[in-house]
Amino acid sequence: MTIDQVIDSLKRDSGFNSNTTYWKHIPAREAEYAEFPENLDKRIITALQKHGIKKLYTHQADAITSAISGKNTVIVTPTASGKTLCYNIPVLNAVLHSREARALYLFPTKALAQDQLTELHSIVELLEEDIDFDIKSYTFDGDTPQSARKAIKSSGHIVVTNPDMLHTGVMPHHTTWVKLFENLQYIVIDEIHHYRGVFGSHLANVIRRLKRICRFYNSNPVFICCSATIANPVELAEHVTGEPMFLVDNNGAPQGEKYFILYNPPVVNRELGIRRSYIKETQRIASRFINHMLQTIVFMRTRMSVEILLTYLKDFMRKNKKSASLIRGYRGGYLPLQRREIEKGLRDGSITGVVSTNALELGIDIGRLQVCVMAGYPGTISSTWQQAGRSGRRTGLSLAILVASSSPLDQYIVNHPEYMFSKSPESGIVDPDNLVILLSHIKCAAFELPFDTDERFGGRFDGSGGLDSTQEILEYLAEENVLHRAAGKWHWMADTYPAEAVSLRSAAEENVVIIDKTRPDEKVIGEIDLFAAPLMVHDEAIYIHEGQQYHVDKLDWERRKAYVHEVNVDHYTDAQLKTDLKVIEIFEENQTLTNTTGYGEVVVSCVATMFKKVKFNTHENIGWAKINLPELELHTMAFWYSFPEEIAQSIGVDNQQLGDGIKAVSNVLSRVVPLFVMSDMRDFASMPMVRAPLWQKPTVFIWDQYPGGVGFSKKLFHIYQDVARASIGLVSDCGCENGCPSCVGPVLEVGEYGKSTALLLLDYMVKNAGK
Amino acid sequence: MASIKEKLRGLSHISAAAPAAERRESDSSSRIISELDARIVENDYGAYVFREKRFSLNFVHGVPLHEFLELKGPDFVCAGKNQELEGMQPDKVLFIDTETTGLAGGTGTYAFLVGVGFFADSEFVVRQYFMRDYGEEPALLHALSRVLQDKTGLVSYNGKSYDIPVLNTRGIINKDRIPWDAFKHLDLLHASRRLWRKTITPCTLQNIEQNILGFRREGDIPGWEIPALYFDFLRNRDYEPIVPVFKHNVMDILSLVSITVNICRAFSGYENLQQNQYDYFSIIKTFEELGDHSKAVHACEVFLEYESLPELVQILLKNATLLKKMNRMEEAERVWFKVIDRVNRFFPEPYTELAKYYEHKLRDINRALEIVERAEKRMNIIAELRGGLNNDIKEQLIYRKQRLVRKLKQTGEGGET
Repeated sequence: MTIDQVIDSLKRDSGFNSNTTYWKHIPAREAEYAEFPENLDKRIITALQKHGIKKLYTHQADAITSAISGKNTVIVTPTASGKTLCYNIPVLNAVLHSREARALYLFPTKALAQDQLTELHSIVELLEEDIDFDIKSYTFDGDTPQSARKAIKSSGHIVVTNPDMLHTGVMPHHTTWVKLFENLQYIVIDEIHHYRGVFGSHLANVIRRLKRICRFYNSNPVFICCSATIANPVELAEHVTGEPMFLVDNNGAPQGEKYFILYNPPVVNRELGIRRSYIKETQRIASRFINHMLQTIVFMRTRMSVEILLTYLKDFMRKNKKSASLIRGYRGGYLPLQRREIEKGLRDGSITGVVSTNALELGIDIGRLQVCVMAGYPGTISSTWQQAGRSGRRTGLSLAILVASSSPLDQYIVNHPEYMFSKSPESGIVDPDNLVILLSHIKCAAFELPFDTDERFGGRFDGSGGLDSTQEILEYLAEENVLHRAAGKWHWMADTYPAEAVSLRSAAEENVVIIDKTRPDEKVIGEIDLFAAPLMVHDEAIYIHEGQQYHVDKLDWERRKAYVHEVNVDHYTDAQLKTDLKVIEIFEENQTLTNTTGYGEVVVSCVATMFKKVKFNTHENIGWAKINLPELELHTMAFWYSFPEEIAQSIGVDNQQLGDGIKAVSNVLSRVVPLFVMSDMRDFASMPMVRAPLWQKPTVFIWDQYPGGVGFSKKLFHIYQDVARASIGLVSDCGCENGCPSCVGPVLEVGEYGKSTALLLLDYMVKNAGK
Repeated sequence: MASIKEKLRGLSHISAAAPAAERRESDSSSRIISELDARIVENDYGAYVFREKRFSLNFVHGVPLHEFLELKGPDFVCAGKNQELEGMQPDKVLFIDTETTGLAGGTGTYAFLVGVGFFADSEFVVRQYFMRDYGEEPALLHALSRVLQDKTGLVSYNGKSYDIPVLNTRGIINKDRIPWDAFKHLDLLHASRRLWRKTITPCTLQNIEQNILGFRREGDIPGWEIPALYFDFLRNRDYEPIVPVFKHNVMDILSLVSITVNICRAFSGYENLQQNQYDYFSIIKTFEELGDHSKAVHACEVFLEYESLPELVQILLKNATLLKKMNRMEEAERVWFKVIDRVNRFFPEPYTELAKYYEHKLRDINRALEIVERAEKRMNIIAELRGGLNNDIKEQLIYRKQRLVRKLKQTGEGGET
C-alpha cells in the first residue's frame, strides 16, 4: 500500500479512531521565492546555481539581507527549510569580501557540528572554482588532534564548535586565536531554543565573555541565531546574546501535505486512570507502517526503550518473512561509523524503519521519511515539531503520530490539540544574572582578561548596559583571594584554571552516584540529584531503576555515593520529607481583595525524617525506620499564590478537603508549567501550605530547583493564569475518578476530594485575576 | 535586603574570608631589595624591580662560562637538530627563564619574574625583571623587549611550549607584542631528552645539573611552590619568602649556559664522551638526520669500541645502513656479518640485507640463496622456541627463496643473468 492508502485505511479503522483525539490535516504549501539580494557577491550566486539553487526562499533572502547589512538576526523556521544557507551565505560573502574574515559557529552537540561541515564543504567546493584561495572550515572540539589545532587557530575561516569547548578550550587561550578574534565577523548560534534554563543561562554568560574578548581585539561580530518555533525567539536570542535582534520568520519553503494524529492509548483501569502501555501501542502502530514498507522513524524517550522496541519490531519483521535488518536502532552509545551507515541507509532508502532517541531530532541529515511515530510527548512543542518534521517531503503525503503516555503533560497535549497547532505557547527562559552562574563566569572572564575597576560585565557591543553588581562581585572574589586589584584592574590570582570547574550543562552542582555491588565488578547504574537523594536512596531504601529493584546498603553522604544491590521483594519504601520554606525577600507582589501573588527569594530546607515499608497491592504498612541525614538548604526563587483565609467557606469545602485540594493544585500546577516554560519537570518543585507562615493564608509555592533560580518563577508570576487554565483542562478531561498520577496525583496522596477541590480552587484562581 | 556579597556567601557555602592582610609595604622591603642588590627602575610604562648580576667568564658552573662563546653554528645545529640554528651567534643569544603565577597555562597566567642572561663586555650578565604587582607588567614587558633588541637567538628549557607562549600571551594582553617567532630558539628540554632520556629520569633541569654538571642546589625551592609564594607576596608585601625565587631563577639561567655547552660538546666531541651517560644511538641519528652520514658512520665506529654498549645491535645495524647509503657495500657486508656471527644470529635484518646485496648488486644468486637458507634455519629455530614467527618475515623469506630458486633455474647453475 502507498501512504495515501494507509492513511485512508486508518481513517476507516474504527478501533484506531476510537483512540485518536485529533486528526490535523496540514495542506501542501507552495514555495515562496525571492531574488538573490543585490549586494551578494556574484560568485556565490553562480556557485549556488551550480548547486541547483536557482532562487532563494523568502525567509532565506530576508535573513541574508539582514545579516549582510550587519543586523543581529534570529531566524525562526521549521525543520528542513534550508536554514543553513541563511547563515552560510552571509559568512561566505564576508570571506569573499575579505579573505581574513572569520566566523564562529556554535552547535549544541559535537555530532551536529560534524554534520554541518559536510554541507558547507559542498558549497565551498563550487565556490573555489571561482576564487584563488581556499576557504577553510574546521570543527574544533575535544576530538580535534593536537597536531591540527595550530592550523585551525591561524587559518580556519569558519570554526565550528560547541559552547563547552568555547568555554574551556578556546576563550581561556584566546591569545592563541588572535586571527580569529581580530577578524570575527559572524557568530552563528544554531538551535538556540536548545539553550534554556540552566544551559541557556550559562551560554548567555559564555557569550558575555566572548563579546568581552571581541571588544579587546576590536572586532564587532554580528550574531545570526536560528530557532525552532517557540513563543519568544527574539526575547530568548536577545537574552542569550545581549544584543537587539531582528526577526525573520516568513518561511518560504514548500511543504508537502501532512497528517498529524494525536493518539491516546485506551484506559484499562478507570479508577486509577491507568492506560494501555504507550510503548506497546507505539509498536502496534509502527508495525502497521513498516509492514507496508513505508519509511518510518520512531522516537523513544530513553535509550533502553529504543532497544526494547527495536527487538519487538525486528521480531515482527521475521514473523512476516521480511529481513530484520531493514529495521535499525539509533542512539547515543552507537559508534560514529555505525551511525553514519544508518544515516546513509535512511537517505538512500535501504533502511525501512529506525527507532531512535532524540539523537535524530536535530539537524543530522537523514533525508525525509514518510511516517514519524513519537512514543510519548517529547517534552516541548518545539521538539515535537522537530521530530514530526523528520517525516514529510517537499511534495507528497506524510504522516506524524504522537502516542501519549499517561504523564500529565502527554494527557494535556492529546486532549488540547490547540496547544500543538496554534501559536506556540512555550517560552525559552534564561536568567543570565543567576548569581551562582554569573559568579562562575566572572571568574572565567577575569582569567581571560583583567577587569577594569569601572567595568560592567555583560554590556552590549556599543558599550551600553552591563551589570551594576559587577564591581561588588569582583570585590567579593578579591576577598576570597581569587582576584587581586592593582593599577585600576582586577587580576586573576590563583594557580587554577577556572573554566574547568564550571560545567555548562549540569543542573545541580552535585549528584549522588548509584553503584551496584550485586556482582564483584561494581557498576555505576545512575545518578540522582542531591536534593532527591535523601528520599530515593537513603539507607535501606528500595530503589527502582529501569524496572529492577535495588536495596540501598549504604548512602555515603560525604562522598555522594549510594551502594546498592539487586533484590526482588514484595514491598517498596516511601520516605517522608519535611520541607520548610522561608520567604527571604519579595521582589514583586500583587495584592488584591481576593488573592495575593508574588515572587521572590526563598530558602527551601528539606530533611528526610523517616520511611515506611509498604507492601505492593495491599499498601499495608509493614515497618518503618528513621532516616539520619543532614538537612539540605536551597536558596532559590519562588512564585506563590495565596488564597484568602476564608477560601474554604467560599468554595464550600471543609478544612481537610481544602488541605488536600491545595496539595492537588500544587501538584498539577508544577506539572503543567513545562507547557509554557520550556523545561523538565524536575526543574521545578512545589509545596502547598494551608497557612503560610508570613501571611497565614492557604498558599501554593512553586520554585526553581536550582540555586539562585534561572528565571522560571519570575515568568510564572506573569503567566500563572494560563497555567491554571491549562491545569483545569488537564484535570477535568482526565478520565480518573478522584485523582491519578496523570493529573493531580494519586488518591493515596491527595485524598478522595483532592481532585474536585482542586478544580474549585483552580477555577477561583482563573476567575479572580490579580490584575 | 541582603547585599550581593552576603548572597554570594550564602550560595556558595564559602565562609567569610579572613580579614584582608595588611597592604602596607613591609619594613623588610628596602632591606631585602638592597640585600638582593636590586633597584627600582622606571621607564615610560611604569616601574619594576631590576636586578643584575655579573659573572666573570672564568666562573665555573659545571663548566667555565666562556666555553659557551667558543660554540659555533654547527654545534647549535646538532644540539637542536635543526639546520636553522646554523646562524646562531653565541654573543647574540639570550638565555631566558620565567617564574609564573600558575602551571596550568592559559591567559590568566602571568610571568612575574623574567630572568635573562647574555654575554657582554667580557662578562656574563644575568638580569632579572620583577613586578611588585600586576600593574608593573607593562613596564616589565617593555624592559624585556629592550634587552631583546640586539639579540637573535634564544636558549631556554621548555621555553617553546611554556615560557615563550606565556610571554607571548602577556604581550598580546598588554598590547605590546614581541615577535618571538623571529628568534632562533634552542629549547634544551628537547635536546636533553634526546641525549639523556635513558640515563636521567625524569629529565629535569635539576637532575641534569646533578648528573652532568655535578652539583646539587642547596636550599632551592620546588617549582610548584612558586605561584603561592608570589600570591603571598602580593598580599603582604614581604620580600623575605621570595628571595629564594630570585636565586632559583639565577641558577636556572646559569645552568642553561652550561647545559648548552655540554650538549654541544656531546656532538662536537663525540670521540671522547664519558661512557654510559649518553644515548649514543640518538647522537648517531642526529648526525644522520642532519645529513652528515660520514660523521654518523664515524660515530658508530667510535661507540662500537666501547665495552658493554647497551644499544649494540641497534648501532651495528645503523652503521651498516649508513654504509649502504654511502655505497660502501663491502664495509656494510662486514658489519652485517658481524651482527650474524658475533652478536645475534637470530636477527632477520642482516640476512635480508645481505641477500639483497648478493642478488641485486653482486648478482651472485648462489650466495644469495645460501644466505637465505641460513636465515631460514635460524628463523625456524626461533619459530620453534617462540611457537611461531612474525608472518611478514616468514613470507618475505619464502618469497625471496622462491624467486632465487627460479632465477637459478632460468640461468642455469651458477650462471649470470
